Amino acid sequence: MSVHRLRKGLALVVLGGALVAVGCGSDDSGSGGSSAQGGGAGVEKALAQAEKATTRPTSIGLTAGIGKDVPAGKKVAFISCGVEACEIQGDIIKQGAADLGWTAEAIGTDGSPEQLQNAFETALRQGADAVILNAVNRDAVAKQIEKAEQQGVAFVTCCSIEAEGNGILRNVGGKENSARIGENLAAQIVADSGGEANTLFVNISAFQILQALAGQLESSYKQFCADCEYATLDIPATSLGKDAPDRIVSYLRSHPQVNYVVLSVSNALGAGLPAALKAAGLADKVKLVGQSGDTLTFQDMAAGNIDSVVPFDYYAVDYLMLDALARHFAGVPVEQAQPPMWIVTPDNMPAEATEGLFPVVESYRDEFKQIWGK
Amino acid sequence: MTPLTSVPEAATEPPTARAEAAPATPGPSRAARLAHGLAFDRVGAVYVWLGIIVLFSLWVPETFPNLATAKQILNANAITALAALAVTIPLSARVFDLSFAGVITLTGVVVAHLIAKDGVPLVPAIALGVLVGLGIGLINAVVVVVMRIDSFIATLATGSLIAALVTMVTKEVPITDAKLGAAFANIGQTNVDGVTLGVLYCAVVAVAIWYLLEHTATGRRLYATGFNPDAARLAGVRVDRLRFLSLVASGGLAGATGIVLASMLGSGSPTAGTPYLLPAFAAAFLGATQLKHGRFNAGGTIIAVLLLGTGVTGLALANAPQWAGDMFVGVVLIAALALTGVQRRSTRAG
Repeated sequence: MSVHRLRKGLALVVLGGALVAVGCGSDDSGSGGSSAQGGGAGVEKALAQAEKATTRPTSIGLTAGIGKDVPAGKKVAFISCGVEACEIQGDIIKQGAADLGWTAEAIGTDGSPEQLQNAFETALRQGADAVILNAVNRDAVAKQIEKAEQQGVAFVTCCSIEAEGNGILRNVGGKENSARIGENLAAQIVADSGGEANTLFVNISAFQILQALAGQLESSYKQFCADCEYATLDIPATSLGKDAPDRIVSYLRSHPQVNYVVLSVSNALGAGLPAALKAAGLADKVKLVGQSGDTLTFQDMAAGNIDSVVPFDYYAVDYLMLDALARHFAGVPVEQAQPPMWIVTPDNMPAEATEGLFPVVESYRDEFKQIWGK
Repeated sequence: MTPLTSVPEAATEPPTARAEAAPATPGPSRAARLAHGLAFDRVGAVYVWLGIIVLFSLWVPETFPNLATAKQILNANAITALAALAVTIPLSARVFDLSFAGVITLTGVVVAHLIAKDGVPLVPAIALGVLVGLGIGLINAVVVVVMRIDSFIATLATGSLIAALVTMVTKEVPITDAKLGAAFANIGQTNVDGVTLGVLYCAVVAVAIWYLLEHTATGRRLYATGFNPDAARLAGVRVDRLRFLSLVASGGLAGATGIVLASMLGSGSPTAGTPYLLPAFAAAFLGATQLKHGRFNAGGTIIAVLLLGTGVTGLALANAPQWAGDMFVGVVLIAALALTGVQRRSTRAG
């Protein structure tokens, strides 16, 4: 019996110890206001910036023509990474390649390093002139990038934290773009709240590109509104599509003063969230803002569940990657243009947003064709 | 037909149960029955659950001990519970259905596609979705029962086929459309005083499975099949038929779960069901240690889901770090199983 008691006690100690460890690691990374611009001036600045950011851009912001003939007949290999964004991009890249007089092939993967490496090798074996792979992790395909460089195959990426050079010709929408989104979201929140915001940033720590967004969001937020409260909630990638809404609801219930929730990836974190907030009686107490929404996000916005979103402009990002390749093959320097920035709200949301992907700049295709001399 | 009730009982029930059935022996007193019913080795998880409730009530007294938390736990775990109940039926007959998570995904995207892209009215779309689930269950049953392939491997294989179908339907892109925001959304998003309909569906399914397993001959035959298929077969139980039907039922229930989940998400997500694979099996296996001494049962499964869900929600309310939930689930599973096992050995020894 004593052995049984010992085992039972041990089991209880393990359980208790785990809970104590969890308690010791409590993660309330909130931060109050610190030294920065006082309420009035900061809010005024935020208002001005938010007004600019909520105005739909009418130009892609890239005006420098290539000035030389872009060689025709290039073969582009697009390595799909197994998530929604990559699948969507395949068709846009094919369209853009056709505009340049090129062809593009998509190579499907499940996003695992092994399959990405294999797809990269396949692209090189098939004689691609250029390879596109989103959100590349250099370590995962280092050998293939090196091999591509040796073979004269251009490689471009988007939305990656990797630096350009050493085989990466261009990284469109990298850390700088994420930081820009963070700054504008901060302005939007402070402006909308009139300096009375108490904000929760919901982060997905597995997505490293979000670090730049998070850092700039918090920094700008404090600049605009020193007295506004700010905190971060990390959501594990394994919670996406499962208990992420419940985690957010729990945080909001334990922090009832929060009145703005920033979703670092609106489509990933927002699925099921409006319904969970409604069931918990929190829907009217917080405003949801975020970036990178999909059709469902904008349907939620149309239904009054989401307040503002910076959409990911697939069209501009893909065409900018192709623009880098076009300049490379034409022998001119690659431009460092960023995708256009727009905060979509219920007031300025285009009707097509609830039906499918839409370009931020409606005339993007004509502009790129003009730049490319096509 | 009569042998069905006697042989499995003799094969599966502990000696005390047989003693209770003997007419000459007076039955145990009410207090004894109550003590037996509340014994730690029968409902150990309930005591752990109560302990967790007390702990979090002391830890976060402002937010945890109230009705809103109870509703939140119920709402957040309805799909996990439905998924766990779906696997409880085949597990009772000692058959694994590892494809259920894929079925959840598949029926969600199929119904979303039918409504959003094909313009199929709601009711026929739902009916077709359930039929898809039943169809996958039928395929599983044929592969496992007719082709005699081990259920663990067979349902892994069909899971891979389902993944291919999901990609075929969605091209890995979630199906979203304004049409999914109307009546379809009401299936899962409607709430009655803060409790979503998913909880109601879960309660209905749990009661139905409880009745099936505890109060019908079919339930006893299922258990007999699960505990000792050879003995059950010799006793006249149609083991293959029960296993066949359990897989079909699992497919149908997983299919219905997928439709509810798609409604809650407001879209047909190509990855919706995947996260429920391990939690559902964890709940089913933990539930099997409760109430029925090693039998998979609906009540135990619900207790397990609530135990795990309460801890995860409590930790979130206490602002625990993001790894805390997974750690809690792992530790509680080990602790609950260890405590129950130790207590059971103590009972047998003493």
